[in-house]
Amino acid sequence: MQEPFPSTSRSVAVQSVVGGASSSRLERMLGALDNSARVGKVELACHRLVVLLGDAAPAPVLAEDHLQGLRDRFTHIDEIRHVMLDEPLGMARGHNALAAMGDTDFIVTSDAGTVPDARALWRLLGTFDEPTTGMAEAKQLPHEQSKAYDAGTGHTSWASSAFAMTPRSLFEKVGGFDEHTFVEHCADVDYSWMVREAGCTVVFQPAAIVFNDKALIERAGSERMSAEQVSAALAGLLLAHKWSREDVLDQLLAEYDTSPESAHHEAAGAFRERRDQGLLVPQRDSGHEIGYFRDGVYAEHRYE
Amino acid sequence: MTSDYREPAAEASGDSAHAHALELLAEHRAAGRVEGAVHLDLSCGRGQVADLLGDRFDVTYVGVDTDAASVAAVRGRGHEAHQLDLDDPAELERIDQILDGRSVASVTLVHGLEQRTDVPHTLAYLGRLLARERGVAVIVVPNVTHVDVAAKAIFGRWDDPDAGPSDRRRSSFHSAASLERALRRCALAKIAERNVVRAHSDQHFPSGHVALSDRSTVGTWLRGVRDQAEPHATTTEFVWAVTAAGPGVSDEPRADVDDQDDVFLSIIMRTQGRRIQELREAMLSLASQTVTDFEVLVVAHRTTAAEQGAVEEVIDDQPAFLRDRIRLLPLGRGERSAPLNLGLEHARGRYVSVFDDDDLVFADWVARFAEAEREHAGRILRVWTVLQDVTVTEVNGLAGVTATGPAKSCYSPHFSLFEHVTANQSPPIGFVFPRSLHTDLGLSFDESMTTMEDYDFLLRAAQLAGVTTIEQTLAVYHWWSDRPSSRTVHPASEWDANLQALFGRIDARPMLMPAGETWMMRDARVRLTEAEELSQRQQARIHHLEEMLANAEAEAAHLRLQLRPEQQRDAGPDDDSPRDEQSDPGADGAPRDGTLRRVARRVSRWRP
Repeated sequence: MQEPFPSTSRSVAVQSVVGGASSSRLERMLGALDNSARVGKVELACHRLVVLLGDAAPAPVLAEDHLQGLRDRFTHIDEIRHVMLDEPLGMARGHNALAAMGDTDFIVTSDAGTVPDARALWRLLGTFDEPTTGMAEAKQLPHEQSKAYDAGTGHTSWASSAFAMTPRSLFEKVGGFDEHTFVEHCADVDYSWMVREAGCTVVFQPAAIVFNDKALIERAGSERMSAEQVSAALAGLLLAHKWSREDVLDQLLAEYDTSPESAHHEAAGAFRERRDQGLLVPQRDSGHEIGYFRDGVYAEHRYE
Repeated sequence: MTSDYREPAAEASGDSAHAHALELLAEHRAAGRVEGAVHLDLSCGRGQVADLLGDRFDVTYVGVDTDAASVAAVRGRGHEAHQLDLDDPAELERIDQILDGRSVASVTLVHGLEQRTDVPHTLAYLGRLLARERGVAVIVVPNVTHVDVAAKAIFGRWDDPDAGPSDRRRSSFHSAASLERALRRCALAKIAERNVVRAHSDQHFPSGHVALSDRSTVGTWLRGVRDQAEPHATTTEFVWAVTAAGPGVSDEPRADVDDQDDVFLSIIMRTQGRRIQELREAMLSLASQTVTDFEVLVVAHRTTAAEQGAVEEVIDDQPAFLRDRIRLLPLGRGERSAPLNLGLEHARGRYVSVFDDDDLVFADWVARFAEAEREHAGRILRVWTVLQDVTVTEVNGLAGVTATGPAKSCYSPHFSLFEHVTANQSPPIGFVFPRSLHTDLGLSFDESMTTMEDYDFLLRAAQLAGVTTIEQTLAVYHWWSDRPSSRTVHPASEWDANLQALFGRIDARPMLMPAGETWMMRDARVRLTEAEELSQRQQARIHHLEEMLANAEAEAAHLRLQLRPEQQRDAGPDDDSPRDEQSDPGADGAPRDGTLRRVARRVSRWRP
């Protein structure tokens, strides 16, 4: 079968917020992207591939001489930029900051260390031949997400930012990730829904594959784990608020108030504090046409 | 030192080494030799070859030996013979002077090689001679690896008879592999063989030695393992026809070099080129390995040109580091085992993995195996594997693999050979095995099996190597519910036939159980005994209850008989027909009469 590559050659920026990823994982990721660029350029899917690494680690994950060595090796990538972020910005602000530095037709958000198949980018790009496509997500290995999608169109509720492509123009139109509301969790769900609210579709393309072995992500300390639990729980509350699901919000707050988990109490407290201070963003989707909330997930799932 | 190897009994018979050598000569010597051509008998001893040769080939016999008395004996029988030191390279060159321009039609080296102190130089000379004369030689060399020798040596016994494979006069010892290697290094090639085979060699003593017995467990097991390892377990003497293999004969042969094993893992990936997206996923999981000390042997099995082209495209799409590690091996024959055996032949790794084109592994899959090798080299290394149901869906015209259910941990976490004898608990993607099992112990995948070849191999391999389990989930075995796979392509009857054949084979020979397995057998036996005892007790109870029920029914029948006159009496004089109290109750549903009610209560209260 003829590979349905995109009809027009485009420029693409792959951007990662580098947290705890090791240099060896980044090197493997860059090697795979270099290979992607080789294949994409030969097949005229892409004429420019840029990689942006936003480094939020206390010390640079990639030293300058190491980075230069990688640039010398991976010559199919047009540009590898390594940017030190002033502070741990979180996924949403980090990606917004990186997106502001680029000028490519498309933006790809990628977890640091994710290894794409040579054709993953171009198969994602191919979904944008359909003009209504606003965001396209690759399938992750070896742990595949169980979100439901339409067999045929690939339409789905939301796309994970672990490896997803979106047109820069649309990204700018909807204001990127809502960094005022979300730090890490739910930012991609929220962005997906804003894309859909703007009249575009979110597509899951299972033929575009990336390897993202989360078991390898370096384990954070218990303090950070706890902070992440608070952040995740708070994100759930904020998402329910933003997308006008007061019923879900009330249910979650009630659960958190009676939960034995201190992270839940902290999250409920933080939410009420924001609400009391008038810091919550305006609500949208009052007709409940976009957002999907059921049993703590934001899409129908193929299996439990 | 003479070379008068005294072959017992069969020396002059049709099954002797000398007779085999003459047959090979007759078959492989060039026809139409020039007149006056010579048959050169290196290390001629007392001239047995001369006697057998007679005037069969119209050649002039020329014998050469180190021992002067032997040479004199040969001359005494009217043959040309010369004494020179065959261990001296300079002396070897004197043979040309002896030949004095005569061409050499053929050469024999019967039981001479093993007596040489410098085998490489002897063979190098032979190589040059055969290259120059375009002749053929037949060599006869004892096999030191006959199972009789090995079975005794394992248990510390070494006998030095005057004759036979362990002849004490020998200076060098040969197996088939070492002899072939020695020939190859001297630009000689084996073109035919007619070995002497004896199930019981002249080393088959003492007769009561348990390890030598064909009936003892250890003897049967040893012979089974030895037969599997290499085809010369019962060869007493190699009788080979050899010729010059080509130019490049060197007087300084290279040192022995074992098979290359500088790669940790050889991954044999078999594909039919029909699951390209799955192959792409499998390759991506290899491209993402944290340790890259591996090679990939992609066996394109019975593929069409288009299918092979699709496989090649996936390979071309891989990052350079992985492409450099991949070798594509097309194969147009055989069932599921054939590509695995082809991969084994080409593998260079210390360990081997069987990786189907729809398998997936985690990023640390190679790394954990490599770590485990440091502590458990020589053992099979196994990780936890999950099973996941998958299907294929198309989005934007492209086929993608999609899970239809969660990954399930349904295989036993710990390996037990005892358990595996009943049912396989180890998908091939979840273990790697030492390549030595193939190269040194002769294990390969049974090509007569159309399914379960991996299970059959594992059962044979696990008892020899043992299994170490790494307690981490690192592999995904995909289960196709709605598209062809080996499970659906082969009918259930075929699976069952293969399973019965497999069980038949393992039941037919002794099995070596790893340490710890006997505990499991004992535990299983105890639990089985307890279950049997419980079953017996329950059976006895059932029997007892059935007896009580039968007694009760008999008593009830008896009571009904007793009641019948009373019933008739209770019915009164106007009622002619007998009443059935059960079909003629009173208003409360009970029999009308007091006596009947009493009896009915007695019957209803009765409990066996």
